[in-house]
This record gives sequence, structure tokens and C-alpha cells, in this order.
Amino acid sequence: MFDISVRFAVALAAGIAVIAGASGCGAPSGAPQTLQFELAANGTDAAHCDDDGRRVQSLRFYLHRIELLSGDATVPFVMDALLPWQDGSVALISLPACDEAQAANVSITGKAPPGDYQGLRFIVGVPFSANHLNPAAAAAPLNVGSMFWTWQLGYKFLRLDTAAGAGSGAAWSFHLGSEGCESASAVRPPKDPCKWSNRPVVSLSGSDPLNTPVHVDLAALMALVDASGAARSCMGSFHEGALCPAVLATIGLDAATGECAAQCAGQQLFRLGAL
Amino acid sequence: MRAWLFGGALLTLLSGCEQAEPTPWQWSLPPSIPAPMVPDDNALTVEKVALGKALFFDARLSANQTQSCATCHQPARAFSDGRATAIGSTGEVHRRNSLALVNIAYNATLTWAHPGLTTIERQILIPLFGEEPLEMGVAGHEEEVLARFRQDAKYDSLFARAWPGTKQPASFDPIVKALASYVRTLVSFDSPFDRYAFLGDDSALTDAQVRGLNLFLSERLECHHCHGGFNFSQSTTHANTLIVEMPFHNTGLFNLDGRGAVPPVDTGLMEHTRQAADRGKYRAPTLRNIALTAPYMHDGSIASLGAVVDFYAAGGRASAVTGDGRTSPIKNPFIKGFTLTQEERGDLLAFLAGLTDHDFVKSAP
Repeated sequence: MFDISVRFAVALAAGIAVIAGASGCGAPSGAPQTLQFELAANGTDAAHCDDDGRRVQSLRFYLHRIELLSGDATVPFVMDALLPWQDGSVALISLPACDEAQAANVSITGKAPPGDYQGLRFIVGVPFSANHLNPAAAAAPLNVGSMFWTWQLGYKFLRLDTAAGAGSGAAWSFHLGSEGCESASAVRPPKDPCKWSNRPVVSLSGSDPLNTPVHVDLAALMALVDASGAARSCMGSFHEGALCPAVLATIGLDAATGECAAQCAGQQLFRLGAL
Repeated sequence: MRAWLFGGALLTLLSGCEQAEPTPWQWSLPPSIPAPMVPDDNALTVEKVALGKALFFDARLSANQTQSCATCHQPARAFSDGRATAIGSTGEVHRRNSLALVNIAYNATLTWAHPGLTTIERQILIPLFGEEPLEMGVAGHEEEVLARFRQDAKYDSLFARAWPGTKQPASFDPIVKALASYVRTLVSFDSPFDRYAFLGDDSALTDAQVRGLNLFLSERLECHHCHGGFNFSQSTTHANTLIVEMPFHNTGLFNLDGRGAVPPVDTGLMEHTRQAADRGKYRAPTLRNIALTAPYMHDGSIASLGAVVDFYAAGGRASAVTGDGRTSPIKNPFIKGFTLTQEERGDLLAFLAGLTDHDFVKSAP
């Protein structure tokens, strides 16, 4: 059920072949490029820090295996190793929110060969190979205390914390990560992949990702939360109840399997280009 | 080139007995634990630590010579004092509980609630010179206190080794730097938990302690949201930290008016930020050696670790005096209460006892 590492290897090999073909030698080529992320505003204060809406206190997520889409071809976006936010393999995006004590990072820098790109693909989360190592020994961006659980469960792939606004119910959080990870205790890593991987593979199209920001739009997710009365945060046991499976569906995941439903095509959190 | 080198060596030989270079401090840490940050202007040396240790236990550092740092920071109690709230050198009863000095080199911020206080060197000025509350009471007695150390041959030697080549008599800059150096070295990573987690010794924790560990790190209890990471506090930095986090939390101890009010004697983080939403917010201290540091909370108002677990299980405190802290609108949302069986409660307490590092509390004289 868990083939991300295999797909990664295949994609990496394909990507290396593409790069090698483009540059005529084995080294990565292409100009420095930046991917931008923005909280979609929908015409209002995006995080609702100063209005009556549900306030976004914190919104952070890890990304890896980023690819640019050009027609049917995929070209790896070769991430720079630019600490503290990206180590060359995994990047952490931290969007500005109401908790001003949290540092922000809204972009990922890397290199890509020139091309006519009309889309972007990435995986939300930390790859299994890095997800269950001793977090005390980890380097940035994998040493942010609020983003990991334990050796056993690994990292919070996405962390959204909201506070009640004047006109909305209780605080509500969404902490996405792998579940069903079996090991002797919380501080022992699992040998085998977890039962629920919970890593959405997000494919976006319609604009040039190198010149258009990725909008992170909480509207669909927040509508679900507010409609539910926010009885329970979604920080685990995602397949239980009604709200959390619906929340996972807004990022394309089937809560029952922890894998993409229909290639995660139903995700509504990320959008490339126009609102 | 060779002649120059020879000359340098000769000079060193000639002066070596008088001015040995200070010895850089070598951390003794488990393999995966990163070293703490040390300020550039106070390099850590064996000699500064030795001086700082002597000063830490010397009551002559308080104006009336009744208290040393160790009066409120006793090694056997993991450098806390066992009182609900501290008592200063003139007998003044303070409003806050003496914090244990455990791994404070890793604290993102110092004291219970001060977002701007990020170095031990600056923090030490508070107990030395602070007048409200009055701790060591040095303010106004500076020369008198310094004279005690300037007339002491033992300290002449300790100062000279820590700062070789300087002829300055004892003054507060080196005193503070030496004290900071000593307390910076109070690191504790040799508990049964450490041997289990970081050295992979499956026998270091009992089965009950492992069950308690799993409860502690569960989403059901949510303890790790504030007490997470290798130092059991999210307010942790180290030499490899590039993204610093300085969290503070309201845990639901008070709700005097139903809208989150806390006693005016101590409004926590709000004293610095002036934001009403920061009322009653404090830094989560490390849980290492927590079994040795009763009573608990910023005001020492919870007597035992079992009572602390019950407090978090209830999701806050409700009483005629405190109001219903469980429903405080500014309480941290992760403190939402949980239910434990008696066995689970025992497991959790057994795990917390597994965070005691017995060699650490024996390390001082």
C-alpha cells in the first residue's frame, strides 16, 4: 500500500535523465527560481486577526518531492539547501498568522531548467525515511519543536491552529501526520511504514508556478469546522467520526486508507494562480 | 617562520606558570543531544565555571550575607527550594515559585514569563540587584559586597585563573559571567528515560514507565504540546536552533470573572506585553527532575505531582477562590482534560519519576 519511496526513486531517476538531457552533463542546471506561498484572502483579512472570523493562529506544513509540470512531462524542482527552512530535500512553509511570535517562511528556492511550466506537484509531509529519526538529533527544518510528535509517529506534516473569533465557536486545530505506526514505544521508530501515511500528493495546474503564488485557501476547511460546531479537533484518529474524514477530503485524502482519493484531485487547500 | 614559532613557544613557557590559558569547557552529552548556545562574549571555560560554582554557594554575595544562590536553588531539589514561593534575603515572601535550574542553558527565555530575557547573564542581574521583589539585595550595597571578595585570597586566585592577565579586582561583570557559566553547565541528560530513549536501553524503564511514556506522548493527554522535545519544554533552543520558539501558556489556574481574569499580583506574560490575551501565561518549564521540585506551578499552588496530573485531567482548576479556570477563554486549547484509570495515573507518575537524574542532583558539593 505504501509506494511513495518507490515512486520517489522512479521520479528521481526520470528527473535526473531529464536534467542530464537538458544540460548535456550530469549536473543540475537551470536558473535560480522561487516558489511562493500565500494565505488566500478571499477579499478579507486572510488570517482574521482583526475581524470577527475564526483566527488563524498558525499554519505550517512540510513539502517534499516538488515537480514542475509541462504538458505531460514532469521536471524536478531542485530545492536548494538553504537553512533553516529547507534542507535540499524537505522544506517548511510557515505562513504569517495571528501568532506573531512564530517565524514566517513563504517561499522555497531552487533551480529548474527553462521551460513552459503550467503546473506544480508536491507531496505534503516528511518522507518516511526522515520521518521517524531521533528528533533531538535532527537539523533544521526538522528540529522545530512544535512540528514533531515522537519517533513513532514522526512529524506533523501540516499544523493549523485556529482560535475562536468574536462570532465563531471554540478553538480548533488540524495536525496532520502519519498514524498507525507500530513500534515498541513512542520513542522507538517503526520499521515498517505506518498504516495511514496521510501524505497528500498535490497537483496544481493553470499557471506558471515560477511566476504565480500558490494560494493556501482555508475556506472549504473552515466551512466544515464551523458547520460542525468544532466539537473535536483533528489531531489524530482521522478516520473516526464525521468531521475529520471530511477535513482530510479537503486535502484530497481518503481517511480510511490514508492515501490519495482519485490522485488527491479533490483537494481544495492549494490553488495555483487566480482566486 | 620557525624562529617566530620558537620565540612564541619560549614566551609561553616563561609566562605559563602565571597565565595559563583558560581551558575550554567540554560538554558531556549523550550522542544525539545538541550542545546549548553560549553567548559570544562569555566563552565557557573550566576556570569560569569553578569561580561561578564558588560564588553560587557563597552567602557573602547577598547584602546581609544570609543567602547564597543555593538557598533558593538547592542541588538536592534539582536546584529548587521546596517552598511554594521564594523568600528573599530580608525575609520578604515572593509571589513566585523558585524555578529549578535544570538545563537552563537550553531555555529560549528565562524566568517564568519574560519574552525578552534570553540570556542567563541578563537574568542573573534580577536576583542580584532586583528590589521588587528583593532577593540578594545587592543594589545599594555594591562596594560592600565586592570588598568581601577582593579581600579573599581564594577568590583572587579563582578570578586570576578565570581571567588571566587582567589585574582587575573582583567586579560584577566577571561575577555575573562566572555565575552564568556555572549554572549553564547544570545539564541533566542521564535519567532512566534518557538511557531508554537516546541510548536504546530497553531495560532502563519499567513496563509501567513505558506505558506512562506512551500516555505522556499521546494525543489523548496532549502533554507534549507544551512539554515536548528532548528537554520536555517547547521553549527550548540549542546551538543548532535556527527557528526559535518562545511559547507561553495559560493553563487554566484562574478565571476570577468568567472572562479569564487572574489575580492582579501576577498577570504573567501580560506584565511585559500589556496584552489582555496574555494574562496568566507562563513558560512551560522542563519536566526533567520534576519529581524533585515540588510544589508546582508559578505560584507553587499545587503541592504534589499527582495533584498536577489531576489538575490537567480536570482541564484546569475550579474553586471558590480561583474561579473556574477550566472555562477560561484564554486557557491553552490543548488543556482540555482527559480521563485516566488509576493504573494509567500510576503509570504516568512512574514515567515522570523516570525523568529524575540522580547523578545530576549529586553533582554539587
